[in-house]
Amino acid sequence: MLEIVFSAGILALIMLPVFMTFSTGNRNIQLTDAEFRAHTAAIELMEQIISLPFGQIKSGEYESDVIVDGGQFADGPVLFKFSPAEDLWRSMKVEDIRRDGKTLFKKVTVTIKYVAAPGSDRIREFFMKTLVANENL
Amino acid sequence: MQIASTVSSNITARNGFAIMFAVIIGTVMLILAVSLYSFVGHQHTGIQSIVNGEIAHFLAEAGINSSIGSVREAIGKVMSGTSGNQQLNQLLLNPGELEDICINDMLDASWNRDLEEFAREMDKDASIKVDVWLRDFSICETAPTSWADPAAKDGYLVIESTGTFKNSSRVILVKRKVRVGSTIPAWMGKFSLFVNDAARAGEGGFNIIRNDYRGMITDGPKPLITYNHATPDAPFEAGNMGDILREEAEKDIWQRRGWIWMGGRRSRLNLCSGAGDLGEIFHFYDVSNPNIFSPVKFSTPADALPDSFSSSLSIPWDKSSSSVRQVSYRFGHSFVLDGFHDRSNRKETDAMYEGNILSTGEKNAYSSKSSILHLFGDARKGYQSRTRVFGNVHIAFPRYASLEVKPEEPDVEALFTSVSPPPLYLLPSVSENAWNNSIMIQDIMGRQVGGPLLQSGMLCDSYADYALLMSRISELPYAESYNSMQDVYSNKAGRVFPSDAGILAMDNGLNLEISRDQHMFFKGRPTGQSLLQVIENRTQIEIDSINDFWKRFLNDRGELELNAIVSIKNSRQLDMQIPAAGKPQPMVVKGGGMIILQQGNLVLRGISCISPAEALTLVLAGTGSVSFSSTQPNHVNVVAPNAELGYGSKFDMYGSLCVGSIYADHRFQGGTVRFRPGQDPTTTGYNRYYKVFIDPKDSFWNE
Repeated sequence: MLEIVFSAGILALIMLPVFMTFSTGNRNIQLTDAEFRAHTAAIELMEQIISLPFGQIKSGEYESDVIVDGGQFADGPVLFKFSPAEDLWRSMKVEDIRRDGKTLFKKVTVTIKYVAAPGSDRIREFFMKTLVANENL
Repeated sequence: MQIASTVSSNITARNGFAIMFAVIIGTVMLILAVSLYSFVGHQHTGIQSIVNGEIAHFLAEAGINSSIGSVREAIGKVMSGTSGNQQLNQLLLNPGELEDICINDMLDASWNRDLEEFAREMDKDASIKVDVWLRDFSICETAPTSWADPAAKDGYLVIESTGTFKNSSRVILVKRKVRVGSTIPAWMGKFSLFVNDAARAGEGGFNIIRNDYRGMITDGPKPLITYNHATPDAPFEAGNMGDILREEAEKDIWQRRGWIWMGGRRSRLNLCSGAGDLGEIFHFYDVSNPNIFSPVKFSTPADALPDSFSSSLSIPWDKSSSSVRQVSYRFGHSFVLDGFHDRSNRKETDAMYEGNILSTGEKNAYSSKSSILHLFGDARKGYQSRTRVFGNVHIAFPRYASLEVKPEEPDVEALFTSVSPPPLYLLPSVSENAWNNSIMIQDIMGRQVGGPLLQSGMLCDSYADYALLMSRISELPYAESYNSMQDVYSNKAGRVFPSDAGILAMDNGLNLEISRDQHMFFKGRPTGQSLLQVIENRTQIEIDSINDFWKRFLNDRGELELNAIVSIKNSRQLDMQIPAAGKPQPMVVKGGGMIILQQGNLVLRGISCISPAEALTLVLAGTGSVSFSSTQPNHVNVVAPNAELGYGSKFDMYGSLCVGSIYADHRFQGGTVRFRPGQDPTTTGYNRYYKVFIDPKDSFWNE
């Protein structure tokens, strides 16, 4: 009897970190899933921007209220097209990189804000940056 | 007692089982938990890598997009020679294999410094690098049986952009096909004239010119004369008269000259009489001055004559009507060679058959007209142009044979030699059927001068003996004229005919060789079809129509700027006039190249290359015709092995002419084809005519 009690104690001691690890793993899986969706969303937005002719990539800051499915990019003819994602918020900053008075590149920074895990109030951010070259020079 | 002991032992054995069980379960669970944790960590890292890779890819794209213009510009400058940097050109044109090589050093590759700066501005972990490579080059003309060109190669110009973000790299390649090919039509550059099927109109089909005894054309068709060396009046790279005359005496001069190919069945070219403008008697005799030209008499060696010539014969003399007398005579044999002539100042037609020295049978077989093809230039010093001739082609020429009569009795000899002009005992041509022992052989003017009353049977036992001696139209392989001209140039004493020089003989071209500096370009039998194949494999650009061609390759000044090997489909089978109708003649060629017309006809109206370093080759792949409609010069090579050279205007061509056949009728106006020695593949001048073509179309590769 003593042995059983002793064994249960040992098992409980071992299982405590195990359950903690499982719990952390589970949270990480949820987080990874959210992060993955955030990355995909960032790439989705980034590709839509860099595939545009250089002249149509207007510099400026774009908040999540204008970067929505069907919304206009820079009040121009280009409309955003996004996959449905309710717990993601997109924003974007487009800056000129100039030399000798000419815009050689646009620096595009896409930021995705997302809920770390379902039901959580915690908001995380993901950045993606790249350059788009001016082909017309 | 024993039972109690066994039970106690079992209980002892079960002690610790629960602990062990708990430890094992716990360990397994721990391993699973750690694995899960580790897996999630890896997944997280994996996602990060994917994202970094995406960013690296975007950076690589940005690198390509930003620098491709600069790269193209730098390459364009280098290739056009405007940069003053010849390294890349030289590298591509070097004979032999070309290993993969980065050519940033040969270009003004400042873009990498800028790209690096821009990337750092974006993120300290980002970088972009763009390199330009020549890759995957291989020699593409490697078979000496068709053409082995050590400099002709295919490969790629690769613009390689590497984007790096954190630890991820992505490479984007933009590849462009690069082709290096010669605009000279392979082995045809060694030929002045190549006629694929020379005898298409029959063995004597070319013999249609009516000329007089002096070699002046009277009317009708005119000859096509090929000059197989750089003549003094060539448009560029002209020969120096002194050098031409000095080199003319070299017995191996054929090696440096353009060759001639007369393919197909046997053809026969009647040699034009005279030493005048178009006479070809220079094949046999020195024609230093056409006005004082006189033929040389060839004496037949005694050992080649019948026995009757070895001792004196006692024969009644021709004055027997007044005084019968037997006179002792010795006989020899000689002949003179002549050309074909239809007219003389005494006779309007068939003048060469006057006096019945040549037979009616020969007249029917050979006619009195000469050939429209003069393969060895003309009689002027510096313009005589013997060379190597391939094919079953013969020259035909009249041989006037005469008996050398020498009376052995002094008074008769004195009488005989006092006659002017000297007595001439021509041996008339007779057919075997007409042969008999009593054919009278007498002075051509029928004079009685103390000569013999001679009958054919006194000298010859049979027709065979007589046939060897009589006048006749002879034939000889065209190539052997080279040897007799060598005798003339080297002032050979005791000439015989045919020449015993034996330098060149009839050659069917089965084992033709073209080489330079140990490299064998060609070995075997050249054929028009294999030449077309070699040329078509060089195609760099394909165009649909002749109109599109002119739109693309004529510059604002109406000059041709080709610099490529272009194939035109021409599915409507329109004639291609060069220059096009309404454009100035001649068309100026600023950038040479090759035009391959797949079908239709070619009509040439004058083409002028502005530089000796430019050459234009026109190829007609299909059947059809090549003709000239202007007397303007044409600096061009023509390759049309299935087409016919049609009649049109008299023409002047500086280059190589390859046709399937030549349409010979009374409308043929002839012209000149001058070999262009700078295009000869056996000389280093040939190296000037390679064109490097970089395909304007990109193909993208991701790595």
